[in-house]
Amino acid sequence: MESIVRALAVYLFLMLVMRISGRRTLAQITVFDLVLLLVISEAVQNAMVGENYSLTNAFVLVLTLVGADIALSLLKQRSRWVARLIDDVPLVIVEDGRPLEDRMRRSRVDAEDVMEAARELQGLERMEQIKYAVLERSGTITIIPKG
Amino acid sequence: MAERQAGGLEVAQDLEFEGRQWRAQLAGWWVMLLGLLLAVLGLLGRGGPLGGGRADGEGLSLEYVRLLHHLEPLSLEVRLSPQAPAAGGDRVRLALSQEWLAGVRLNAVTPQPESVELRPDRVIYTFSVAPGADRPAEVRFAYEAEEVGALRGWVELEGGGRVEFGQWVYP
Repeated sequence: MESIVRALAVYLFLMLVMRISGRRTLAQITVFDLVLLLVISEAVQNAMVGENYSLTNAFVLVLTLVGADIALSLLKQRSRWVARLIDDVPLVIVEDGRPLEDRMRRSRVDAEDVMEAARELQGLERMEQIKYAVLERSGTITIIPKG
Repeated sequence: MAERQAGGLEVAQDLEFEGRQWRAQLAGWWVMLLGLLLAVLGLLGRGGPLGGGRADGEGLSLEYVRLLHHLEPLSLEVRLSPQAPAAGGDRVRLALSQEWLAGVRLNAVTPQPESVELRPDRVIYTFSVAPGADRPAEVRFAYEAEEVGALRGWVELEGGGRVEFGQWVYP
């Protein structure tokens, strides 16, 4: 029972902290963010395992985490509100070549992030060539070029 | 429902939800900052200026951690004044409440006691002391809290005073 409570507590806490930190935290794969993710996994490992290093405990933890993931995905299917709460919604941040400054500022995305995606995904050179830039739920930026 | 932007982009954007989410995120950041501040002050355990405690009694004083974590290795430090009453002239008997011991795992007692006596409400540790000591002697009980929540106990010097203390164990 304690193992299940520990696993659920860690899972829900991490989900909450990651949602509060904003979607760009998930998408940006800089060295700093990689180090952060590695250190977080180490920090919570002992809290989940406790002093029980048995195979049975490890299996129970895995079952709990996978079960929680499945339960949430089913809940998301049934409720749009839950789906938005957990996964967020996409956001248009550039429209017809014009950056929507307020939305970008609140999402902690700057013009250079948009241009990086534009160059990488579409080979574009200038902001004016972008019809729409969308900050997706995953934190990545997708680009629709002007036709 | 997906929104259709001017120009035909179909995207499930919801600006009202985004606005609420941003406000919730901002509130969340303040809560995180508050949590870190509490941790720095020692109110979430692990030391800090407000996390420690001290209690004084006749012939002894106790230093302990008031706010601690489950299974965190810590020690209870009992200082016996040079004038502390000795049970048999060259022995000191220190009692620790069973109520507290029931909630912790006692790992070591330093120095090692001469004897340990079990009673229903206490455990008595007997230490031999050198006569004519002019500095306080220190006894250290190394422990880990096994129960979460409030933990109360007392330490009593036979022939001297009793000090009570309370702790809170975070999960």
